[in-house]
Amino acid sequence: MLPYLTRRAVHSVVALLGLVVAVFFLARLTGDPTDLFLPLDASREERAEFAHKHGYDRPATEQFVHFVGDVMEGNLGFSLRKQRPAMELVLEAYPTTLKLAAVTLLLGISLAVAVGALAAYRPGGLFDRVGSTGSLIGASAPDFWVAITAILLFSVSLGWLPTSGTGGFLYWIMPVTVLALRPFGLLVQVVRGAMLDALASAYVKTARAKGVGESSVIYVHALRNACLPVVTVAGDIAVGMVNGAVIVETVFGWPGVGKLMIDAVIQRDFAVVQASIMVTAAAIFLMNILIDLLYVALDPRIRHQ
Amino acid sequence: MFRDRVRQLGITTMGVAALTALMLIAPGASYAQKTITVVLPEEPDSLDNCNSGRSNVGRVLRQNVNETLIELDPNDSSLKPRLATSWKQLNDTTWRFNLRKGVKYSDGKPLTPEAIISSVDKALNPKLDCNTRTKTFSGFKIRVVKVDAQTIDIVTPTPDPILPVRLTQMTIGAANEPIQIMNNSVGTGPYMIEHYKANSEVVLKRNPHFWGKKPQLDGARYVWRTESAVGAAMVKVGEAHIATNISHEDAKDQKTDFAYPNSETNYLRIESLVPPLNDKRVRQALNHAVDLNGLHGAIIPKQAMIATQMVIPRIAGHNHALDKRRFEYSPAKAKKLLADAKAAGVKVDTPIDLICRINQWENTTETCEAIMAMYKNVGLNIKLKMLEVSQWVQLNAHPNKGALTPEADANIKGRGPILLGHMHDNNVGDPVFSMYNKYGCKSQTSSHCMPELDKKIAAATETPAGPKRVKLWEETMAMVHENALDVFMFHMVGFARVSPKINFKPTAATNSEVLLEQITFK
Amino acid sequence: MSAPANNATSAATIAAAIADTRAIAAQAEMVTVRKGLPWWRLLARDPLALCAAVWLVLMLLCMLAGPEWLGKAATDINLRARNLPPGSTEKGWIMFLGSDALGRSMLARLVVASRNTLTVAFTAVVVAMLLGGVLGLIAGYIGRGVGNLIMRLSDVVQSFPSLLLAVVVLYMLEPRVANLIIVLAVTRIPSYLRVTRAQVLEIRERGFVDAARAMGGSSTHILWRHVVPIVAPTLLTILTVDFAIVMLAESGLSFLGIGIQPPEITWGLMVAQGRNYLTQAWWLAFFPGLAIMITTLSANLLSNWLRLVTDPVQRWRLEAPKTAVKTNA
Repeated sequence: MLPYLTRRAVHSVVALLGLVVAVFFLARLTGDPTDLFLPLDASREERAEFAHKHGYDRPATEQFVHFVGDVMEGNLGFSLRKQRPAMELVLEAYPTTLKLAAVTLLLGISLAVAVGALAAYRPGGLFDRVGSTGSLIGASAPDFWVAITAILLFSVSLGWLPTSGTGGFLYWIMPVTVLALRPFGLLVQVVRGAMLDALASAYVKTARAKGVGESSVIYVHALRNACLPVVTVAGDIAVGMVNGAVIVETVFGWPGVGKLMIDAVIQRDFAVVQASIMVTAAAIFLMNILIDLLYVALDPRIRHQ
Repeated sequence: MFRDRVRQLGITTMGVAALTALMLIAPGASYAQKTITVVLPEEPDSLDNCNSGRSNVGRVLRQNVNETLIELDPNDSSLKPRLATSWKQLNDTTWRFNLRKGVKYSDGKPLTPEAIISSVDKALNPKLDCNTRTKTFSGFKIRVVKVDAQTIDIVTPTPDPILPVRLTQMTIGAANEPIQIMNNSVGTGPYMIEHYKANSEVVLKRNPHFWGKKPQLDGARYVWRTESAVGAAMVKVGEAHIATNISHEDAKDQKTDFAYPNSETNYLRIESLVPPLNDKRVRQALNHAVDLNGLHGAIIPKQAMIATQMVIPRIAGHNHALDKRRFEYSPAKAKKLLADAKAAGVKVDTPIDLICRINQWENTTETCEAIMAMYKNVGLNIKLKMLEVSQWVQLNAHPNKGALTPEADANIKGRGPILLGHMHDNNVGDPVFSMYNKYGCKSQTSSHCMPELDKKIAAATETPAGPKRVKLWEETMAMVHENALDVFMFHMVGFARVSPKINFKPTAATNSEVLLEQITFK
Repeated sequence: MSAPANNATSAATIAAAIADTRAIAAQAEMVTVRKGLPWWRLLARDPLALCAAVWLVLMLLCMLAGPEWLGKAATDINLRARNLPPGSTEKGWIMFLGSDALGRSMLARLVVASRNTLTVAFTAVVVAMLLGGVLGLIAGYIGRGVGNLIMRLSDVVQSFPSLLLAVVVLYMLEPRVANLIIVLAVTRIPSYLRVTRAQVLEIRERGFVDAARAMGGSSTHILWRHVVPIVAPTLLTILTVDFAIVMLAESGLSFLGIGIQPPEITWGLMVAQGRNYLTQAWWLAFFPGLAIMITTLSANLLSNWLRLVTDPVQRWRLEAPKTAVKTNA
């Protein structure tokens, strides 16, 4: 196990470095921030001066050498917009993203497993129809539409929930629900499919024949064997979430790394793009390692080379 | 219908809503009673007075935390004393300002000439990219000289007859600030920054040392919501008191929603040096073909005003006579002009790109789609492209000026004639901030070059404030109109939702500042 | 899990047994039942799946002929008829779903937009599934160097913000449909890749794969005959949901000014444009959203149905009368 982990860690670091280099050069293909940052009517001289001061007038390779030098000194660059260390901005925003992702995943996955498993128990039955159709509707609805309609309904008309912002339990309800809709919908489908296979398999029949109770059949025997695709897809969703959730972040005023990154890409704030990718990519790589380890834990026959 | 049902529910539960909101939510409840919550469309980039020209910073800081020497009245563009009580011009390049007595910063230190010198030096320091420098004092480094404890002189590098107007854009910070962008600006205004929580809120509280009349509000809390519907909802349910910059579509409640002229003017920038747009008849046809009345009140809010020139009516130099001589909407006239041009050998069938920028003003896409249809209707070969901001700013900064385009400019290679959807914001109060940039032969962002117009602009720029200057500016406006250099559309409006619990009237300045001292509880 | 072959035989026996009992009751149908009902009969028995199929055929027709049929109505601007609510009849059936902010028929725009929307979504999702699936098979079955390389590359793609990719591609190239497909497909590949690989890792340890290997089956043969059939249903499930995700991702890009822009139309673009009118003209964003939703649902229902039909273990659920389903479940 340890040699595997070491090798995996080394590979991941190499891939991460490759990613940072790729992002550095690709970001610079998307245009020069000078025109975006300066007032619309800035003069030619002023544009030239600004570009020179920030090095945008030099070839990308030269800028890269400069960047590497800075990184060696522990300087990951300054945000052009905010004039603050880019990494500081990312680390300020990241806890929000992680909190939101953790709660949403926990809720989304457990609910999806329960609903998906029950739906598979009687395919074509009422619960299956309602459960899987309902979850799909949630998954395919435009999230900003759901978010704003929810605010208009639950905050403005009914007055049950605060519109937006951070705070106690009530503040979490709408953002988490909206964010969970899509993962929930996808997972219900996957759980249902995997369970259909598992329920038809020989060992479930054996379990039934042995007189094991139905709920035990579903949630222990079948689910255990259905969990591989479920874990993979759930992992995939989790990876997507540590990348941020722009719509929920912007609509509900929970600015996390998703909004930070989008703004940075739009504004060509390269340092922030790089810093946020370094952080989110590290999280994603770590998560993928954990998921792969989870496979082995769930099914000891799986070996990792 | 869904909307009706929502509204019905809304009426029946309004009482409950207000009560629950107060009990469970109202974050304002933890603050002093006379505190308001303001919803802004975006988070301030920083809280440094040298960036107060950026609207997201200015809305929090300007005149609330950091004051200017001279204040611009948003209603008539007149100048009012603020930190300077009076001023006069000594010679072409020197102005003398008498400072207000007894002014103290929120940390108790007095406002001195030295502090002003230090603050101005920071704002204009080329090491920083302060907005004050890049926007208002670009290539124009003023020098502040102490005369005595209550008097300063400001020396300009070249004669500047409107220095006082320029100074309305420069907020004054504390002495010896570090040469970096900060998030804790200290100033002399009625309020001071209590705390700033990134990604969450800015809270201002009363400045105990404020020199002026004690304002009613104890403080203010600023939060930001990108989605206009959410900001509007927050005021509606009582979570906030003011939501600035809500959309026209969300501002349908006559009791709480106010339209205010926001000093922005949208227009299509014509590349008047590129064929076939270098033909006056074609440009006139472009103007006659657009049905502004049709857009007005439909896609563009009815409170907006149809524009005939670059600057808004309250700016001295706006040519009011032109507003009565608009290009009338007449496809027939447009077709005739195009036919005449064609007969004279102008290639009117050349493909022309109509390029607009996503969300530049509300309903940009709809506006540009409609205009495209109108141009097609008169037989122009027009193609619409909607661009994101980064691509658009490059087109803006590199107009095709035909033979006058600098050799080095590779940006315009292979480009056909372009009509660039544009919006100009002159909230400063003098046409000089518009006319040179938009029409000067040597301006980076001007797509035009008319030597007579160039001369007229130069003459107006050098003329001291007064009727003569106003008249010269009016003549430049008329010249632009006569030559149909651009297609002007609307002087736009913004919308704000204001809680019925407070007195606040949005003004033309609300985009760039929200004066807390003028807000009172009912 | 034992070899599926066993499952298949036992299930076939059950199915045949049920068919036999049915056959006694309905002599006339005996022959068809024994051979299995033809697919359209099976479809007709599942009303939801039937609706789904009808909708998808309808969409296919819109896609093929929509722009030619209603192209003019979709672009004709009429500022006097702007934001007509749904159900408006004074301007004719074309305004049945209301009109947009420029007075263009919503119905016509939805129909015309189906071509771009479905081309983009279908191609992107299928390309992502095929590429992701094949790479996942390789990574899972071969493992070692190549597999590791593929997985780390997939990590990189997964970590690369899709918006940045979109800006890069659509900034360098034109925001054309083909380029948009590339962007959307690339960002979806890692999901399929990881799911496929995870299942292959498990399947290749099963007895029947070992047996096939021992009998000298080539890798491609084993993958194609034994592994793919087990992985495919999960991929198909994800694919149908991805339909919606891709259409909405495209909407997000349009909203930010990247991606497809007017005068082109997609459902995603319509949703993005309707965003400003949520409180005043809800139908602007609602109907394109509904179209996305129904299409996704239909794809999903039909794929679930297909799964039942093609799965010998489950097929009896469709063929047997309702009472049999209940007793056997």
